[in-house]
Amino acid sequence: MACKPDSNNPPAKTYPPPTPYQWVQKPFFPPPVIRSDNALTVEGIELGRHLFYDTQLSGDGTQSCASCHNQALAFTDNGRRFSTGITGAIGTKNSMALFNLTWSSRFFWDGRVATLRQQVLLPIEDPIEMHDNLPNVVNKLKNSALYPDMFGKAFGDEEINAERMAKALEQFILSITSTDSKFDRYRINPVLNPLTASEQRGFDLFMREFSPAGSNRPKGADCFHCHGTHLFTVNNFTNNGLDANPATGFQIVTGNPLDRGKFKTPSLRNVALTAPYMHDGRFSTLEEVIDHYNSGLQASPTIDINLKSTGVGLGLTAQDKADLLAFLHTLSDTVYTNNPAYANPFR
Amino acid sequence: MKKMYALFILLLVVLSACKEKSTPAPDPDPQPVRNGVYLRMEHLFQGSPLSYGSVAWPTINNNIGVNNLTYYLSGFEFQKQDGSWEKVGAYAMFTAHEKSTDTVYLGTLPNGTYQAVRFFLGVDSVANHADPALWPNDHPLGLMRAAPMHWSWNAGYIFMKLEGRYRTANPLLDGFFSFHIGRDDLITSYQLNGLQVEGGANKQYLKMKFDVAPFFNTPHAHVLSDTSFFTHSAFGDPIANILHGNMGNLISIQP
Repeated sequence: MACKPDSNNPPAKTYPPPTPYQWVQKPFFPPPVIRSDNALTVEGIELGRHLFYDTQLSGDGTQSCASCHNQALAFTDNGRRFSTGITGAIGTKNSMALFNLTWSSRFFWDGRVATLRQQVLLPIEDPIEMHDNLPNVVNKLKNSALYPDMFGKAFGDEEINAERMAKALEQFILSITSTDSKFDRYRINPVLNPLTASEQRGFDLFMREFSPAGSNRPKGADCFHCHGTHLFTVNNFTNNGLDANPATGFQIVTGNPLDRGKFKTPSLRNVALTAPYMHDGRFSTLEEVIDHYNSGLQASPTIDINLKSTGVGLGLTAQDKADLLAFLHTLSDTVYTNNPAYANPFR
Repeated sequence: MKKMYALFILLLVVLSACKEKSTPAPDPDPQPVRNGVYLRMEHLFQGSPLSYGSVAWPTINNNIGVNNLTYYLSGFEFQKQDGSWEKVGAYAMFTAHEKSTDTVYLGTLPNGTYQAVRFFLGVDSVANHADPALWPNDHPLGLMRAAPMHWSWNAGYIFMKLEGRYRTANPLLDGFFSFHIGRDDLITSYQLNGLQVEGGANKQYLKMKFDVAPFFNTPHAHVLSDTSFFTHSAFGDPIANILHGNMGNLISIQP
């Protein structure tokens, strides 16, 4: 008796099971990593997209996730070094790009959370970001005309809670892929979609080992050790020689001093769209980034050994740098930045 | 008061009856469920269990500490008593500090007694140059597991990666070393005899040990220094050739 629903309440509305999302497998990409307790569904992704763009998730109704993650710029924050929250407070880390995260584990620059569903709730409650609290946000959603039905379609009933909100946001973000750059078309058919001579040379530099002065090996910029694979990241945490006394970084997760100064290696897909660069947005342009690796490395006890092995730097010429830059631009994907499936549903 | 107490007990009973059943915590070290041959590897330095972090292991001129030892074994074949060989198709990736990778399922063998095993320390040439995205995500050669062990469009997989620190004259300034051995011509063949493995439907554990110490000194001495702390197996790199010459002395059968 005690477990029976209150007979004074109307019976809960029931919904058919959500529709499994059909993943489109692209050449050279790994299969998606399935989160078995949050399988992607059409309805779950659509709910997540609405939540992502909904300013009700912030304390004063002025900001959504999209306020700092603009699709046109690979979901980064409009060229800003740090994002500004609803109170005008300014953050301390550069807003990260969002794509191909199904193949990622550990989120934020310092990797302090293991899942996207954990990650998505933190900015909502962060006083220097969206500055609300989860019970309040859940109440707002419960009282909206839109969401009870959307939660019902995504989860089978109209219950709205923070866990479901996080899972829907996770589904939307996991569904965002960037797989259709000039480089991807070249890889699929290099005859039909060739790179220019400069881009090809940049690609070769990108993928070749550093070669010390005096070596008879061809010159390499040695980018691929951290930005390799078709994902253009090996999803590690690296100290890339920004400072002689580096910030905490991944050490905050492991407690290991050997992880000091290590930050998440971002994918270089769409890198031409995601300025400024590094966890603290210190470099405004890709040219500055290349110069850093070419001649600006700061030694510290945890600097990546591949970078350490370059000694005084890569020794790239102005032409090398221009070629490398040309190649990096081939990684921009306008199909993704214009994909209506990722766009604001309220417009 | 008694009534209140009874009501409280009743409420507890009702609430616990409505609660969902809790699921048991996953077994941290689940027993293998498939029949066949399992390879269990122990990682050592001069016969002692390999530990991480501290710079305590003696090599020729330096004490070293190991931060990462990861490697591939492939091309397993088992020799019957009549001298013929049975192939099992497994690829095994061991990461010494991840206990979950210490035991790898190799596959099933037909009935019979097997007296020797041969395999490669490395990845056979065909798989080495295949598209890694074609493997499932949980496969040792799949990109999700192998990304730090794959050289993208370069030369395929890193067969063995050994990274760590070495003590210099100034104990406050440890040096770091990073040895990545790969390339088709740097694959290492092993044949280990004296096995007693039974084929058929049983679970069989083949126990081996991987000792890091010979990597630095058997038979070729490799002294760590500012100029010898690093190789990525580029063609013509003498360090890769020296260390490759030592790689045939790392793995042996556990008695």
